[in-house]
Amino acid sequence: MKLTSAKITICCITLLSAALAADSRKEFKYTVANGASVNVMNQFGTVSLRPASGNQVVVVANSHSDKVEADCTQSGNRIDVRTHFLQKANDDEGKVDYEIQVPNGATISAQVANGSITAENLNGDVTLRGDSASLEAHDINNAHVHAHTVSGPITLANISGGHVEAGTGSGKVMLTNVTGPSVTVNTTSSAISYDGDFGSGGAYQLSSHSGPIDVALPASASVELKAESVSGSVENDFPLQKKKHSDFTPQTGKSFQGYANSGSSSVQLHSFSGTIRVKKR
Amino acid sequence: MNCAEFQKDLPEIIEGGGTAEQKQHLASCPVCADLVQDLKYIAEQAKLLVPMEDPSPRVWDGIERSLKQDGLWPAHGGPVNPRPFLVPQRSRLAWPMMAAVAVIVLAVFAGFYSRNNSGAGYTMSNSPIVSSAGVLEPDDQQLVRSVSTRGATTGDSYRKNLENVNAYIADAKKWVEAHPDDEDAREALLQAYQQKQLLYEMATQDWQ
Repeated sequence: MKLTSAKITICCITLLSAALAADSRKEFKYTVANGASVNVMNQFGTVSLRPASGNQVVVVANSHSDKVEADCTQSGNRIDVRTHFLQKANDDEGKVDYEIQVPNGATISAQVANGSITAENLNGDVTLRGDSASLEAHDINNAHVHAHTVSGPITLANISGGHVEAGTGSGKVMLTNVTGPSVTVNTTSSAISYDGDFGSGGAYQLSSHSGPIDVALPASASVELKAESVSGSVENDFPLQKKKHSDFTPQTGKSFQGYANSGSSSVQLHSFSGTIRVKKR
Repeated sequence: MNCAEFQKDLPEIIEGGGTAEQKQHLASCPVCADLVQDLKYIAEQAKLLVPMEDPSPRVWDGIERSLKQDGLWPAHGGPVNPRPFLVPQRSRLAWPMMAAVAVIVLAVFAGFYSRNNSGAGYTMSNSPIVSSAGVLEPDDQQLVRSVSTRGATTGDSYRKNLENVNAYIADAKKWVEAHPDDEDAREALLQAYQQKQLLYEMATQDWQ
């Protein structure tokens, strides 16, 4: 029995050592001018995007096996980061984790199939795409944020001043304190949740085919809100005033419309078969 | 001229008839002839999406100009670069824009079809442009087969998402048919197509 335990321990240590040896870390640094763009393409693994203090793009790549390597190139003011497969690799062997620092105002485009992308404290336009990867962006101001996945969840928080577009087939979308002149969320079968005050002007459109839509907003929110579910239902406990002139006829349990305070932001909620719930925070 | 070279210039061929060499290939190749016929059929069906508000030729010209300006129209047979969510919300141009997205979706489908069927005996059926709820069209099935090479889970995920988005399109289309003047209905159809476009773009992504 003791011999068996010892063998298992040795095997574990050997495997762990091999795994650690296979991991390799590389660092790349590029100097760029204003208006730089950074493009990242990584099939498996994580991408973390954070602000840099100067005018350098810094890429730290951790490969999980020697079957893949990080391939970074600079073409003028554009930096391309791409995972290069040296041989056939499975999801674990093909993993590369990137930590990328980008200068002020740089435009970012990042795609990950399986894994995650996190973008934080940035002020350049951000485009994130994933297959089953989870996407998270927070604390981004005065920049456009686009996030799309097939089945991965999308989480956006503390975003203001730019256009926001989020779309997914079956991943959940969660928005917290997301405001801007245009905020659009579209899902096929998954849930959308919005928690915030919808800012002080702007067009918000949250729509799904069969997923539920949950909205929580404070009493101070200044919105003109319309909600409609074609074959699902709607619930509202947020006090809304009726519009004096409207060509929309609400149907009990199916749709409602109204405004609160000065109604400065337009909010449209639409689902075919999902439930729409609006509540006061 | 082989099938791959011919199919690379499909948009120009469908639009303008093609060069003498392309016409010769078209006459001699049943696979490419079927493909051109199918794509012309789809384009015709797309125009019938909202028959009571068929836009004037000027609208189509405007769409083409916009697509060219945005680099979405292959001027010299180059790859189409579709971009999702290109439409400002609540625009009065919702219908023309919806048509533009439908054109882009068709282009993406055509690109995928062309890439996966050069020289092969596969032919697209004369299926309607709007999919039935929960049913995969032949090109969807081809896409699922292709993406399944990345793993069974990925294939299943795409299959489910395609079924759902086809249901979305079918529902949105019914709504447009029932309420052709309803801007929300058109918007929903536009969004449903955009969802399908996203799936095709992600599935055909070259990760290597």
